[in-house]
Amino acid sequence: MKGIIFCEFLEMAEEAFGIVVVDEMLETTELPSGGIYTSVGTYDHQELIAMVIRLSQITKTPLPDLLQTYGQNLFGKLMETLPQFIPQNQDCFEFIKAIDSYIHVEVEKLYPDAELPRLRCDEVDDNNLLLHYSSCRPFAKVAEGLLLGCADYFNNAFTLSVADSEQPSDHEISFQLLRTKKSA
Amino acid sequence: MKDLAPKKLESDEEILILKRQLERQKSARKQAESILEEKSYELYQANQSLQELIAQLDKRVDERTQELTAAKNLSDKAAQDLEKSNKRFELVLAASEAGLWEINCETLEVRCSERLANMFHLPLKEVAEQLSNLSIFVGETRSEVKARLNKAMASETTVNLECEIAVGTGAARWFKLNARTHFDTNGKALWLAGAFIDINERVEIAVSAQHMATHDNLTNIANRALFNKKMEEALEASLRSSEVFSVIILDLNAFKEVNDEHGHQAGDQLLRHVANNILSVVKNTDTVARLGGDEFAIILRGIKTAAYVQAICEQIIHRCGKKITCNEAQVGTYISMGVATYPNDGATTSELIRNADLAMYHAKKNKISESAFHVFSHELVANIQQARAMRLAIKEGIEKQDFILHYQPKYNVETNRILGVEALIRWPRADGSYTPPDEFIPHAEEGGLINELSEWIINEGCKQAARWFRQGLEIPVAINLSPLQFTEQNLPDIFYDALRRNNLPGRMIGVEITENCVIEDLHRANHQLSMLRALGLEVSIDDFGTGYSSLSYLHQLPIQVIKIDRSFIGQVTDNPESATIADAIIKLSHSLGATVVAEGVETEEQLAWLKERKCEAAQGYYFSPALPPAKIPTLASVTFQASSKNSRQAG
Repeated sequence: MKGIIFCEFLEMAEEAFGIVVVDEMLETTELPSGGIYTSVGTYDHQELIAMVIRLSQITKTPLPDLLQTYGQNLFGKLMETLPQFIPQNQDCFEFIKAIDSYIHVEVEKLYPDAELPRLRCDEVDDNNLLLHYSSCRPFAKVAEGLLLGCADYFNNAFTLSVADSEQPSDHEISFQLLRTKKSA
Repeated sequence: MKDLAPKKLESDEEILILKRQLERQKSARKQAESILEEKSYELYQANQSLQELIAQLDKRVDERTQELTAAKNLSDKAAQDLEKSNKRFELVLAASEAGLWEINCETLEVRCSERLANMFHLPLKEVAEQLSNLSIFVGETRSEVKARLNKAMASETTVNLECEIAVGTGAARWFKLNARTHFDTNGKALWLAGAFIDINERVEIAVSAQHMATHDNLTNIANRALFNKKMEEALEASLRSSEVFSVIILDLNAFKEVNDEHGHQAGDQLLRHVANNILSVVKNTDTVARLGGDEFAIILRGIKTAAYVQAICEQIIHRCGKKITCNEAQVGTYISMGVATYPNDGATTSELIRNADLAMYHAKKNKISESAFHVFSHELVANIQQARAMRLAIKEGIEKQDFILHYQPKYNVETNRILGVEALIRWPRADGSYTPPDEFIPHAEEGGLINELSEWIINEGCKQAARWFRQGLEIPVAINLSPLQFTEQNLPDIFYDALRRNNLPGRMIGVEITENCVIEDLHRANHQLSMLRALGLEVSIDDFGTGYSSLSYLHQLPIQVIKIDRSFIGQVTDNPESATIADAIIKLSHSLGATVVAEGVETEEQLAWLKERKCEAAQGYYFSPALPPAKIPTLASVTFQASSKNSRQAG
């Protein structure tokens, strides 16, 4: 997993819980990297999972909340950090549909070893989009947070809910996105 | 998570934490620097690879550019060659006699060259239209062209056929049409292109050659080859449809004389006259042919009745019988025709022709001096077979010496003494009766046996005269010569040999000839008779008055005796005309220095009439019939005494 994800996680944790908590988390979690991350490096995602679980224990915050919050904050950071991958002047649904078909394609060009999740879109109609998430990593909640971050980014242009049709898991989940207003 | 406010740190602990964080960040920075260095190196390597790749690409571009340049040069050269080739092609087309055209297989639109329009004597647009709907092709050609073009558009076949085109001048001309279809890679016909070449002259020459090969040059009617072909066609048609057809063989009588007398130009004119007149009588579906010389043949198709064929024959006789003027002379001919009809008169063409020929010869034999036709019948064949049998019997009779001679005395009317005899041939039958001479002599003549028979008669006559002569009886024997025998060059030799063999003076033998022996060639007759006279033979004209009765030739020939035909003598006492003619003949003969013998004297009154007119001699039943030689010496030794019956005796 790319180091930017780890760095943003530590930054969010530090902002939210302070340097002491983050230090405790790092000191009390068995991390092959020793908790040393750089955004240009690549690290085992199990370290992130271990850190999140440890942070949840230390802060007594439910793990899903932690992951979702992380995801929500991560979206804005990614938009700031990687503007070259972001198509400009796009509708929110167009943007979401472009993640799999364009953004991930471009990311793979930069990081050929990246293992990216799949995001398949079914457009029910102009205002209703079904988004199917699947990943080799158990980050469904992070994905949900990312989508919430996306809604924030597009000024609450849609509402998000977990689709009824499927049984969600940490690896696979479907969301229903309902447009609330036109956005660009 | 608001409850999760940052913990307050004790200063030592804080320092420791910060120290650890600082360590982590330092490590992270080093790690990042290391990664960056690694990435820089990777970038360097990537750049190197790119440079190499660029160099390879540049090289490849150079190579490709060279290839493209070479290809372009080749292409330019090919284009130049193509242009040259096109120009040469255009030149060849302009020089060739072909007119070009093409059909768009989808729209069926036709385009054609100016040359083609010129060849067809039509405006370009009209040629295109008429080619498009095929109306430019004449008659039967059209359906064949349509079928062949459709086939060529459906497959890779080449159209190559000769067709007749209605050109703008209103005439029809023959062209050779070549065409082939161009298909795309999917096999779809795109266009059909081709050329027309004017072959009219060649076709006309071929037609003319074909006409010459199948037609008689002089009369322009069919020749024997075409006639044979038409006969086969007629036979095949008849086998299919039970059609009846007749074949007529036509021959001109004495055509040779026309040529000899009036020249070949007149003969040719006469042949054309006959051909044209036959053509004017028959139908278009019939065939008129000249088989050669003066022999013609006609095939009449679709015969319904025998009367129709006879009517055609009569019309031909009527029209051909008209004389034509040639070199200011009137030239005409008699014709003989024989008819045979399929299927009754023959099952094959050769049988039909042979039977028509037989019928023609029969017609000619019966009427040499006038036109006639004879319809073949199986009786004719029977007659011919009978004649053949008769000829065989005559031949055998000669070999076996079955023939005998009887002698009819000729009397001096003043002295009533025999002054000679006429030898007459007899052919005894097994029952003791005789086959009459008029039953076998014609067969002997037709069968070419007459010379042999005549030679036997000459020898036998001489032998008998010599027998009598050796007995002291001077009874001259007169021998009849047929026209055929008379013309034989070696006739004098035969007489000479016979006389010598029998040690007989020539005066003891005479010859009797009829007028037609001499009338055809007076000069030749004169020569022959002179030769016979030189041997001492007496020459008599037999049956005088019945034939040409041309008195003019008598004084030109060495004739000693004129025999008045029995038909006059039989009526001299009853018919004044006959009496007048007989009287005139006697007077004329005397004026020419010839003696007169009256034939067929049967009554005393006839004899008295003859005596009164100084007729020197007579023969007939009044005196004696022809008798076997043994009976002649007795009669020769006595003077004739008239019997009381004074009528015809049997025998």
